[in-house]
Amino acid sequence: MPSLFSKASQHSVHLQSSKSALPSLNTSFSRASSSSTVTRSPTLKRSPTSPVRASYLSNSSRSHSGSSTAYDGYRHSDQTVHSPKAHSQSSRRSPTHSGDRQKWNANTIPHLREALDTLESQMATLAFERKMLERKLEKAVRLQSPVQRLPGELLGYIFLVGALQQDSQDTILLSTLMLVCKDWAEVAKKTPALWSRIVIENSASLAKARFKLDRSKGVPVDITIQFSPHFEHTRTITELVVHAMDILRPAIWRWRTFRIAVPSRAHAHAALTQCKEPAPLLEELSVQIHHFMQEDRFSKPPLPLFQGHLPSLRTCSFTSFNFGWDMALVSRLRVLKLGGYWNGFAPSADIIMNILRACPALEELALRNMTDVDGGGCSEFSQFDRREEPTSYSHSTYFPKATDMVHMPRLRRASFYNAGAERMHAIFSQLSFPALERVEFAYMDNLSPILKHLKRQVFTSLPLTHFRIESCYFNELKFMQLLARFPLLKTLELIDVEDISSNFLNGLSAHPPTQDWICPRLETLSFDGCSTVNWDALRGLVESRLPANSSSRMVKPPNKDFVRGNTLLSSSASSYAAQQQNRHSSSVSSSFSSSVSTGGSTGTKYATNRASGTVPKRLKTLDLTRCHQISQEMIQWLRMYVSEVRCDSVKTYWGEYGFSSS
Amino acid sequence: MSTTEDKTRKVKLVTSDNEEFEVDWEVATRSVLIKHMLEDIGESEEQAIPLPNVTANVLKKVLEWCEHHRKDPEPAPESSDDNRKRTLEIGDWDAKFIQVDQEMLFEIILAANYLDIKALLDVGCKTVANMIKGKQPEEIRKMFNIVNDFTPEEEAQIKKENEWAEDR
Repeated sequence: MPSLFSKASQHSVHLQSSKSALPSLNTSFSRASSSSTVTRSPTLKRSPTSPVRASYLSNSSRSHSGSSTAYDGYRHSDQTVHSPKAHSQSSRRSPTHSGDRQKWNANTIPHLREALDTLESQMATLAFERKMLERKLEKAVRLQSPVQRLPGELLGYIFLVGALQQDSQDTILLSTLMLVCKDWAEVAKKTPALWSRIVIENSASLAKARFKLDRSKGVPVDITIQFSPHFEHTRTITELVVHAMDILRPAIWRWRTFRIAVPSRAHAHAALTQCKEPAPLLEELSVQIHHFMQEDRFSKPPLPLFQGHLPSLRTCSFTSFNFGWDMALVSRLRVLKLGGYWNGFAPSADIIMNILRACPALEELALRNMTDVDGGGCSEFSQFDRREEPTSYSHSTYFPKATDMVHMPRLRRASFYNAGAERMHAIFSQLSFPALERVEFAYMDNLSPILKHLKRQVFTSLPLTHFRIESCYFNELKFMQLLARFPLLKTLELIDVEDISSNFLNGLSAHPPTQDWICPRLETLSFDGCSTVNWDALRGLVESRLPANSSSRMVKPPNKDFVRGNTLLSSSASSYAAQQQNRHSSSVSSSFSSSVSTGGSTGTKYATNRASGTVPKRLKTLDLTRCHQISQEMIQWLRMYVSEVRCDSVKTYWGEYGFSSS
Repeated sequence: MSTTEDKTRKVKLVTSDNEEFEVDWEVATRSVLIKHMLEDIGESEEQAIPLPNVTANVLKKVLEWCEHHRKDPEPAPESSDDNRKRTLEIGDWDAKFIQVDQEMLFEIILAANYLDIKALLDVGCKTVANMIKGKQPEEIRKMFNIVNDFTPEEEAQIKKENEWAEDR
């Protein structure tokens, strides 16, 4: 035994120095084990209490005694497995008769059985020791791998980082991690946060929800119930929602997020009527009803939700969910998104203003798809703005009393999609948002009155970096004057704006001698779907914002096909500017140039800009998708100076779209 | 709250292999552990702070990170454990900094955990998570030199338990 132990120890030492040594050790162990088994077999495979075995053994002994003694038959095995007792017996043997007798006694069935029992017990001890050694060895080999030195909590944290990001869960990664080794599987199981995202979207989700609720122990959970608007069996949805809520309800106390997106109000109500317990940890509540146009008996909300006890609620997103404009739900919020309110369900400007008053720390506001107010919807609005639009705006029209203003000092993002021009006009007239960084307007018809309110905000300067306008019309001159007040603007997106003229582009191409550039930090410019963007003015804009150093002007050299006989390329920036001076001097309207002081022509502007010393950033991204007036040749030219130019794929002769070379 | 006096102060750190490092207070206090220890010992400038769980070569690397991020604002406590705000993105400098061998990578993670430097711990953990992502269990075992100790039955059981993972 000691020799085997020391041999195993040697193996262990050897293996500690070699990472891939574990399989070879296992092999040698099994070899040693099998050799001892071979020597026992078949004689050692017996049960001392079994008579069948005993007779077999005695027969076997007898058959051996023909050529040798019965004991000799066993001695073969004794040569390899040295039993101390057997050894002492053999040393006592003598050639005398009494010795033979003793030998004979030693070969009696009880003695042999005893010897075998002893061997069995020793082998069991050895097998146990072998197992222990294997475990120690495995641990030692594991510790050679740096990752195994990490404590479980750290490994669990790595799993969390990998599997859960923002709003998504990498379930494939989670199952992969659990298949690496027992240790990792155990760590994953014992990391409750890994199981904290529960999604109900079909019948199979219910069992998973139970499983996850169990493994997530007591940590806050994020619940999502979602069914596509195309899900055919609405009755099934109701049943699934009710079952899901039966499973999830006991854990309401640790809900952190609850999102439900279902086809109809009936489905939403089936879930929300069960939200009766307080939700002290709930931070985000989102109810989205896909078929928003239906006006059914579920127009009244199942209030109060969560007994009105939502002390942690910070984000609310409701689409077509009529919550009776319950202020308990929409107070003290940081993010508010409301959409899908039509006809009688559409909120008045008063209602919106009341909500905003209750959320002084609001950081993000989104209003989408709501029928516009038709007068009388907002008392303040009536007071200030429901009069005939004046030809010249008086101070009182656009400057309400300070006491009437709602201050949103933390509002950084705002988006208004089809939210009603009148409503927005009313809201903007009473709102102050000095920290706004990103604003989006879409489908708002005439945006000019709202832009005036935006301009009012920027007497100091608004830190706006992203401005997007989609499918609206506005006074270009006023818009340019507004842009002049956004020195930090990095992204300007004008989508499907039909009236972009050369004057607007020229305004961005230069600055008046005594003033700064308009949006000097502009890097991304989008004219997606703007079919009136003029090529010459666009080219002038790109060139005017290139660095003065000629060596760094081009970002990409032109390809050979483009260079060959290309008139666009043959003109340098300065010669191009000179051309433009003649071409545009007559076309630029005098009123526009004097209002935003853009100068008379691109050539003059270009010279002036360089002389003034202020250097704008070069454009990095230019989006000209659906600008069919801009040819592929022009796109090629732009790509020499702008890192990323987006455009439509080129149509082939047969009208199919080919591959766009970007 | 740090004072101007604090910012000019030097801090002595002693590693497990008895190497001494003298660093700016602003650099050393990127570690919450050291910050608290300094608060405990008060104004005594001479007293070195023992770091028995960190070796010199690892501390050197950690201090390199602290030096680069000495001006970073302290992370908001509320965002520290919120999975919903987590991303796997690593800044350019950090990505270059963490390009080390596996041994050092895990030592940095352990040290960041011990010294309580949350941002550095995140960089290390994100790096490991990125290494794991998109790989099969066998590839992960090979990469980290891990022995597969599952019996076929156990493996089948885990796969069965996790069937839900694949159906999403």
